[in-house]
Amino acid sequence: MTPALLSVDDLRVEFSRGFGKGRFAAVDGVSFEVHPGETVGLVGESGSGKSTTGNAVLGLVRPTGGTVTFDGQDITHLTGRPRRTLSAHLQVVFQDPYSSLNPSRTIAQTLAEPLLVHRDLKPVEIRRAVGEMLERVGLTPADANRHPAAFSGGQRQRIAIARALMLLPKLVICDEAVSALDLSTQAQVLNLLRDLQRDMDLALLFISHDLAVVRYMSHRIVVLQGGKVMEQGTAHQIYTAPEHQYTRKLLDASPVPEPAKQAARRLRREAEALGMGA
Amino acid sequence: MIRMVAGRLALSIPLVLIVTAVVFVLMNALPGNAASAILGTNATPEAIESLTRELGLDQPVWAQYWTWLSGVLQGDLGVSIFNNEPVTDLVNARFGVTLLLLVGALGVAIVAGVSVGVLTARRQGWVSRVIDVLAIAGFAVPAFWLALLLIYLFAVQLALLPATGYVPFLDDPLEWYYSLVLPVLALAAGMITSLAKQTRDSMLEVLASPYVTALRANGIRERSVVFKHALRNAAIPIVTVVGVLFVGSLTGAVVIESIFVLPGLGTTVVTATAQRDIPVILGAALYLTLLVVAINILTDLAYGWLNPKVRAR
Amino acid sequence: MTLDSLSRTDSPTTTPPRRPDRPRRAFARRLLRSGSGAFSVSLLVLLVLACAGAAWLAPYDPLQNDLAHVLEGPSAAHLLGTDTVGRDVLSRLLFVGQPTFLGVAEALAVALLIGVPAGTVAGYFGGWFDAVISRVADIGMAIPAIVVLLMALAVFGQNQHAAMITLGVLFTPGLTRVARAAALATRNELYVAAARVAGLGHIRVMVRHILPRITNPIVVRSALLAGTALLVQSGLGFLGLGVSPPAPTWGGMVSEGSTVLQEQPWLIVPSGGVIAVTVLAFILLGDALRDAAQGGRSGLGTAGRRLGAAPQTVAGTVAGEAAPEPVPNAVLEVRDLTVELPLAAGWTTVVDGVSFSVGPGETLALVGESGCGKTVTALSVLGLIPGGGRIARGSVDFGGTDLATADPSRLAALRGSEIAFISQEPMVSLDPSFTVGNQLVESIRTHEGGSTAAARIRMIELLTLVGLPEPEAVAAKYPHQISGGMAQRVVIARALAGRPSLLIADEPTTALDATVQAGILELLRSLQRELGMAMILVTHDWGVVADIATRAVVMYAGQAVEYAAVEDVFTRPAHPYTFGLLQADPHLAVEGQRIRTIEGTVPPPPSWPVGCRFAGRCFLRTDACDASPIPLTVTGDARRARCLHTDRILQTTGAIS
Repeated sequence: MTPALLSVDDLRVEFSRGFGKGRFAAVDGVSFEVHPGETVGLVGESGSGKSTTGNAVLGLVRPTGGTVTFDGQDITHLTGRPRRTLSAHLQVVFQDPYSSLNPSRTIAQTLAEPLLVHRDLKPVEIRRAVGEMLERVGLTPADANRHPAAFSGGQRQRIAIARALMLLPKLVICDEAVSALDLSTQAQVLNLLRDLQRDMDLALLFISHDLAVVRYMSHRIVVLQGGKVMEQGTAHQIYTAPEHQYTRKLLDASPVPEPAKQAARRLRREAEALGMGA
Repeated sequence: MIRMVAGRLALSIPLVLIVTAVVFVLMNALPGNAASAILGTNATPEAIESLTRELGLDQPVWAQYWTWLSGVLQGDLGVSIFNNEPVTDLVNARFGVTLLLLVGALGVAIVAGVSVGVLTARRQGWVSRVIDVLAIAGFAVPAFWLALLLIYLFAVQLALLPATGYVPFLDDPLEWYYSLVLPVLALAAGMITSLAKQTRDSMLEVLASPYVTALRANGIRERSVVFKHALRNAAIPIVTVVGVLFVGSLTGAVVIESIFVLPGLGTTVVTATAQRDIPVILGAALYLTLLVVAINILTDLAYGWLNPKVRAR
Repeated sequence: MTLDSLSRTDSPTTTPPRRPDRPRRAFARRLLRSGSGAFSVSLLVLLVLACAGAAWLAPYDPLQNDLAHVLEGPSAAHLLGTDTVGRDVLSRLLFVGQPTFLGVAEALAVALLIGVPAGTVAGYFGGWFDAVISRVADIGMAIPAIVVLLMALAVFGQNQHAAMITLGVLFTPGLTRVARAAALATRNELYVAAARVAGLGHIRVMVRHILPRITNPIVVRSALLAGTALLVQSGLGFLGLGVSPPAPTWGGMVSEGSTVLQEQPWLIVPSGGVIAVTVLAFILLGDALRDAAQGGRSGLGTAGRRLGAAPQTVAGTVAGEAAPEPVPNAVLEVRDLTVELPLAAGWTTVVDGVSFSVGPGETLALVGESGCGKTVTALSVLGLIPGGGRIARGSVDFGGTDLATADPSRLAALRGSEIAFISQEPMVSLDPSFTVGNQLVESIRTHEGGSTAAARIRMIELLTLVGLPEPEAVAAKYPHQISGGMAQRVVIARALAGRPSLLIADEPTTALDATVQAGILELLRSLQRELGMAMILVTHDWGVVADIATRAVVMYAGQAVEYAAVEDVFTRPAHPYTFGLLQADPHLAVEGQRIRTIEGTVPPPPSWPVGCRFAGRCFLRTDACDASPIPLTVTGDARRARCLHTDRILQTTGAIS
């Protein structure tokens, strides 16, 4: 197997509960790896520490323990210029398509931002790069001159993806990247991400609360609860033969769009409840 | 809640210290000898030397401040440069009228402003427009000018109320009341309009919130929706505004006292400023700052009482 | 549905290339186009210029006495009259304006120079910077300004510059807070995080993303502070402080006038008036700046506003429409419901001719994506149309009463007691200021009367009924002290307080975690079984539909496009939208295959086409689809679909299942 692109080892992130109220661990000893070109799903409910894990990898929160290794380099406590250099290879797409784009800047300005920092390009070259990337995510070069307000949620998410890809990164962290979208738009963006991953040989760390979405996107899945890893394995394993009780509970809780299956599940749950009562 | 008040008190100590220390820092920042600057060009060297000693200007600034502060802790605010009267007596005698004016105006403003705000929140349209215009006018028209207009109208033209002066309550309760009507109104006018606007705006915001929709959807009576649920929640930002308005109204009170010739701290402090009577200004500053501290604590208590999220802390 | 989604009418591929919009120039244009903006800007410019050019403009020497003409009113020779020693009031006002405006500028400059950097640093960096700067600002906010001003004046011997610079320092805490709040809000925006991840340093992020966003609140606050500075300065001038008599400020001129109030009341009018008008101009400027900054976002009109008819007013019911038959013993029967909202374009139809009915013990799901009119439909039944909307056509029959035309008091009496409602966000649908118990008791007493003690017993019953293990403890808590799942159970308990026969639930589990959602769905089902309620469930989640619904109405762009029993919806959808939306659900994705999806987005209400509203995204589209409105047709037992190609879609789906 190729060496891991991202390796998170025994990661710990603690937050203060407020002045004089002690601390709690949002992420408590999480370990996993992401290999080049692979998608790893990080799934869990609110408070599971999945987004905090992503933010710790990105350097947006400070880990209090463990190590994060990217491309052979220890980036756990990397800050300042080295962290900025690293950002060419490590990018992010956030959940909220409305707050992830600066409303007062044009799409071109937003997309050019990473290039200004990392590349020394002429304005013409920047314009061409922006136009090409917009086409790649299913928009047109003419859209570059408009402001975010002119786009729907799904289109903004495409723009956010374009921004993440401007520097041709090796790993993109998708933090609930499709959770705010409607079903049909969500499917469009998921397909786009899969296509881009194949074409650009991207690795994705796909963070979501939605097990169905994670299964569709991921090669391997890490299930988190209360800041700890409950189970990890291939998407197929996790979905068809979950080993941990919490994974089973999570799978069972999310209703499937098949009335007969749902009814069967309900009966099983009721029977279990009765069995436990007896 | 207790933590909140304790926190406020902890912030109040530096507040009092900063306000009172300002004057010592400024005096020492003056080029040359502050005493000669205060006494003017015609002062004799003896007079300057005597004032220098009296103000402690021959000592380092922290020692000057410490001398004053230890006096304060023993209830001694020094003596007036101008007439040698003990500042403590002077300020004590004058504080009551100022407090009366401030509390009276604030009371009138809260009752009138909140009622108008609630009523207009329920009935949109031209009444609301009028409130908007009045709120702006209430801010734009200087209090002293409004006071002069009131005097001209009610005292000069209609001769209903006294133009200036103050009658102590024990001398004649009715005259006491008459002597306060115009000053209180002049000071309250601006506060009424801005409270009315704040009340209306926060009522409208609460009335548009999801829980009000939920209350209505579940059949809670409109009267309860408006006066129990909406007003209670709208009151939280209003309380904050009341506190800010009160601190701001001190400026107005100083001017209003001067116009109506009320024997309060305001007139005292204005005269003292003109005479550069530093000890008197310091004494008045201490009293007014303590008043602000008291009001802030009351505001916090009201805020905590209204807001369960704060109370729980 | 957001306004942004409404304003976006064109798809990116058909958009002609457009000139880049210049936000700053657009801002100035908006500012000057508004009445108060143009008024205040021109007035302030005029005043400042007139005072600056007083030497050339003033008709008289401001200090020239004329004892033959004292205390005169306005005349042709003296436009604003003369004062106690016969000086021309207009000339004096102009000359005196110079130190007046200069003082205001001094105060403002000091406040901006200290406050903006301090606030920006505090808000952006947070942590210790913020703790220290915020504490200092808190203390500063509580300083009684007048006291410090008078101290400065006493020490510096009535120096106006000293007073105004001190005032500027006193303004600093307020301005710091404004800058801090704006910087903090912007710092938490995801685009700032994205810029950090893109590799931008702190300075670059502040210059590119933070400063532009805090400019507006700072400018708005500065306009207000300018007004305040002028008022304070006038007050000091009125008291005779801060200036020497031959060259007073405007306030000092009012003071001079007040000495002769009985003889010549006019004298306080020009000086007091110019102060009031200038302050007014500053306030209006602040308001106008704020409005201009918010720009075109003013969107939804209020109910009272007069609005023209929308460009596409939908005419009556579609020809040949085969509306669904009502179910027997229907609790609620909605016929041809059409709802309009006052949008920017005018009254716009957002729900168009929707009919459905629901029987006792039955759950009807309204399914669709956002912007399709599901929630508006549900709220219209309760007479609580959001955004000041109105029912334009149709009837809502509930136990013999038409709720569409019933008077508000009748509707209010039905709400909670006959029809109850559960909204999407449990946490925000409880009043934060009262305990759970207090709110439940109020609901119970509203519907059943009786004593508080009796209501408390019923409250405990209800909390137990919705599966809360420690009802007494929950009742004593405030909404912020309980979890989202508990809050939704409390909301359900409140809805049950009036023993309703119909429960309307708008996305009741969307905001909840999956494991919590399962519990709430279980609860709703068991309550329905025990109490025999009818239920209308608004949802976009096919899983929830499969779990709990008896029948489904699929909505698209304001219309009902398909009616079917729940098994049929999933196995044999008869409308291409239903089919496409099911295919897009990742639950049904087959391992190793792409999800089939519907291209494009739901069109916003003002741009609904005349023909089939789904045609633009449909793989079965033909010319006939665009020609005229598509009626509902019968596609099976108690089934309806709004499509010309139902047979083809049924073939496709039959083949799949």
